[in-house]
Amino acid sequence: MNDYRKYLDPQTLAKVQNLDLAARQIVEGYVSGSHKSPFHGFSAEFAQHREYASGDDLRYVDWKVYAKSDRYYLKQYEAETNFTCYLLLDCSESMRYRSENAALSKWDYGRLVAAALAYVVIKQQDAAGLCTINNQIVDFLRPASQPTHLKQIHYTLEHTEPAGESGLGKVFHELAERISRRSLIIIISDLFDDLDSVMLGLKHFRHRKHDVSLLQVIDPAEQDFPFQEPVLFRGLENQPEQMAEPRSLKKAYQAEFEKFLKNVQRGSRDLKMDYALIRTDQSLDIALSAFLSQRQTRIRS
Amino acid sequence: MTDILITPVFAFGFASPWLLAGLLTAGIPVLIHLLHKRKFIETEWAAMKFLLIATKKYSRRVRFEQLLVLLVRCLILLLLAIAFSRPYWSVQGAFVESAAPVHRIFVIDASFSMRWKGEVQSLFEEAKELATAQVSRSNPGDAFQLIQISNSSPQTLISRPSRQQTYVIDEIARMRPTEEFGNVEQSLQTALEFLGQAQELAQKEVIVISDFQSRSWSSRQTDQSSTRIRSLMEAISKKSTLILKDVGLTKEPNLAIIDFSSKSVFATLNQPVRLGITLHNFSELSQENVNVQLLVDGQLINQKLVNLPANADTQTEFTHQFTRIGDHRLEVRLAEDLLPLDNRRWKVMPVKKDIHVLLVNGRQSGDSMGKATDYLKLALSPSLKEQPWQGIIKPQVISEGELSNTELSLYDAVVICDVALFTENERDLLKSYVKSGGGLILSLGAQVNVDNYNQTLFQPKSGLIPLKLLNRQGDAQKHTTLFEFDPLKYQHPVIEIFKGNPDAGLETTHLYEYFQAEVLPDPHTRLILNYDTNDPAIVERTLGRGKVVLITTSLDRQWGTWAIWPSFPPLMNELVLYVSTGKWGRRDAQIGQPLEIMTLENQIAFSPKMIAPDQKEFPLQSALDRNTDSRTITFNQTFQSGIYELDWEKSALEKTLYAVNVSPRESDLKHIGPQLIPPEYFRRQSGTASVSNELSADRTSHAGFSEILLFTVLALIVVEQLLLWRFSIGALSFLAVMFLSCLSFFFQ
Repeated sequence: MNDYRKYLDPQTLAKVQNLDLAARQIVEGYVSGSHKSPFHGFSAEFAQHREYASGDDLRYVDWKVYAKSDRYYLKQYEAETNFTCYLLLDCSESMRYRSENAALSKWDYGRLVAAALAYVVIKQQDAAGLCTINNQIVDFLRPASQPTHLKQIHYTLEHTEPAGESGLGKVFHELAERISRRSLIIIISDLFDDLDSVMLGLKHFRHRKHDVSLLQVIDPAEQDFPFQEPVLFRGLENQPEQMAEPRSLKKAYQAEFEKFLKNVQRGSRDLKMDYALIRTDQSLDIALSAFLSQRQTRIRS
Repeated sequence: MTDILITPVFAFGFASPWLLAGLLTAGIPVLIHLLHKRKFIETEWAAMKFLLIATKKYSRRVRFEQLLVLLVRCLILLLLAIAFSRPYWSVQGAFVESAAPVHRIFVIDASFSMRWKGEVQSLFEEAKELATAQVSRSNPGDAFQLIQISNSSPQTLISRPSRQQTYVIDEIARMRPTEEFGNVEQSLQTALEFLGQAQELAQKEVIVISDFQSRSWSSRQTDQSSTRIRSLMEAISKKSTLILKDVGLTKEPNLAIIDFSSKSVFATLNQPVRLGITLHNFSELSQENVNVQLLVDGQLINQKLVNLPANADTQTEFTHQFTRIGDHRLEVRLAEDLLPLDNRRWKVMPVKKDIHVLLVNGRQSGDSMGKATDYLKLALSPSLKEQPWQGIIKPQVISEGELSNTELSLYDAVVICDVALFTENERDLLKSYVKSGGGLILSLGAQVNVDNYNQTLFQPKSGLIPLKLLNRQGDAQKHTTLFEFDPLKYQHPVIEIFKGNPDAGLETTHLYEYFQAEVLPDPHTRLILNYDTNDPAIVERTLGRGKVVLITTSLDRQWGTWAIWPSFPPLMNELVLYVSTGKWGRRDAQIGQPLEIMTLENQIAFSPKMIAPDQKEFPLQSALDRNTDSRTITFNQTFQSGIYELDWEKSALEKTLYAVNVSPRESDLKHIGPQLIPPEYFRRQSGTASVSNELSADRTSHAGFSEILLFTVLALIVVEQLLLWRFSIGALSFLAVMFLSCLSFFFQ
């Protein structure tokens, strides 16, 4: 396992120019074959009966069996593996940020994650779509399961530059209306936006019965705030400049940031979404495995 | 013993104020802070929202934290600069006082009243002990100066501030009480001037240790000296803490001989001399049968018991007849008391064999008793062929032409009789002679040229006597008018022998003619006798060391019968002896006053020495006295009472003696008392002794102001690091350090 791990280090991946190769490297190195896929579709294919227990949904009661045997049995269905996955990648200007100690910017890291997930989904014959968003939908690739579609996804990712302000809440509403089929929606963003509107957007997805996963990508500097000397911070996405004495402001900033992360986490939990916080200095396999194992656990439960 | 502390209510200062320039360093952190803010790095930032919220929410606290850190850094430098400048403060001189170095000036009374000796030790020894103890208790860094209250002895013993305690203690130990009176005013003036020294020491103390004897400290409010002393004390107390330590006595009795004198400057062989003694009993109780002794040349000659009434002078006298020529040492002694120095008094009485008198005859004559000097010579030396005159006055007659060729210094007195004219050369010769101590008697007569006399001898500026001869009064040929003498109540000592003695015939002397004279105002001129017409008959003038006497009539029978009248011989003798005293000079002085020794021409080559009463020898050198054109030796080392011997180093010459006595001012031991010094100076009089002692003890046991500051600086350096590490801990420790520092200042 140690042999491939060095290829999953962000420092190494940063040198790999080809996104396709990088995604393959990630998935083949760790994800593929080692674990059962945590992605399942939605289906009505019958599997078996089981006796009714108090609290079970009455919709699944097999009334025909009841009529014959005068006993309550529930119908159970096999999971459908053929599903649709939408990868929503934030390409607002804030994703461009890369601190001195980070090998990749949040955008670079995010698109690696997106490429890897697309690779996984398409490899198991499911359909994967891509949507890059800032305060609007920048690119929208409809889900498809052909291997050639993966190349299209890679091409789009490679030719998109992060720019513009964030407006995730609005875009989420728009996409919730647009995606009619029940799908798995994986959102990759730093979520530096109005959290309330973002949560409302996510709620809309959930309302439409989508399975939503949230991968929050942050730069280590944004959490650690490692500055010592006075710094003139130039805000991205039209934010103002701010002169600050980091040593005295560090605690206050970190408190605010942690509060934000907790709010995101709480919101995800409330909306029953998968949530993972990914730092760009983390090894990609750890980041993905943490996300995937968390999802696996939730599905089993 | 009483301590009197005169102190400002509050005092604050710095021992090294120039180091306060270091306060400017407090600006360095501010400067660094300002410069520091201008250097920053620039970066893009995505999570700006949170940074803005944090900045907005915490900017006030951050600013407070920054200001506190800045304050601590500035405080470190400020306190460091203040600590180096060694601050001190005092409240009412006792409550809080730091260990800052003190400039301490000791003024110790060394006047002879301090010799009063009780059962254990003298007042002076007590004063020295006090001063030594004070120096021993002082802190390192304190500077000392030492002044003694004396008069002619050097008052300044340590003129530059000394920080060596052992040296100061040695100097105090070497101090000896003087026999002088205390010149308090001069000593306080010196102390005031010394306060200007050691500018680096802002805390100053003047400690006066004295018996506060009333005559020295002059208690009378109207007295100019008293006012001056008070103003000096005020000036000193404004610039320093003035501590008066009183070792004096309140009502201690003392007997003293305050005068021992004789009317005659010298005595003659076998002639009784009256010696007057004035005693004083300085106490509230009379003393009876006090033994007074007279010693001549060390031998007890006479003694008597006298009663001394309280607080009064008592006059008594001894009579003694000298049988040997030369200087005699006389001493009177009083029964000893606790201040023995003023119970003895000395006097020197020269006894002379011959008084050489030069008579200058202005009128030659072949007749018996026809010369102008004949009657005078007979009166001074009434020799008969069969019985030569044994008296001490030895007259010698010369003619007026010989005057300029005669060595006048060989004569004790010169008498001019009816000389017609004087040249200016002769006038200058006579003037020089008189100035150097010679006695000159001018008598007039028919031959006198008035204009010449007025132009040469009686010129107001260059003459011998400032007067103007006018017309002749009366007619000796016709005896038209008879004049008599008016003794002017016998006030002059020369004619005192005629007082109550009408048979001597002074007032019945008959004169027929005299020169009227107008005496010009002059402080040195005095009338001895007048005529009954109120014109001056005999006028005396002191000129230099000598005396000039003018008799405005003739000393023969030309103008009257005076020359054969009983009053003539004694008056002439008295006059000659009186004017002769100038050559003897003063043989006594008070302690500290110089002795002036006249030298003759033949003594110039000698190298004399003065032997003090303690047998200490002082070689002397003569110096030309400009005023008298004579050579004089001034001897200033008269710091001891007793007989001083002038040894000419020639066996042929006998030693010349001088008597030096103490001033009677110090004999009165009456204490000035706290009530006599203005009350504003004595507001802390009661109980200040203990305060002063405790104060000194405190100084040795407590840490200094500077040390507390330095400790605070060290603590603040740690606090600064704590503030940067954990602000809350740093802030708490800052408050703790400040609180502890304040407590330390308070309890120091």
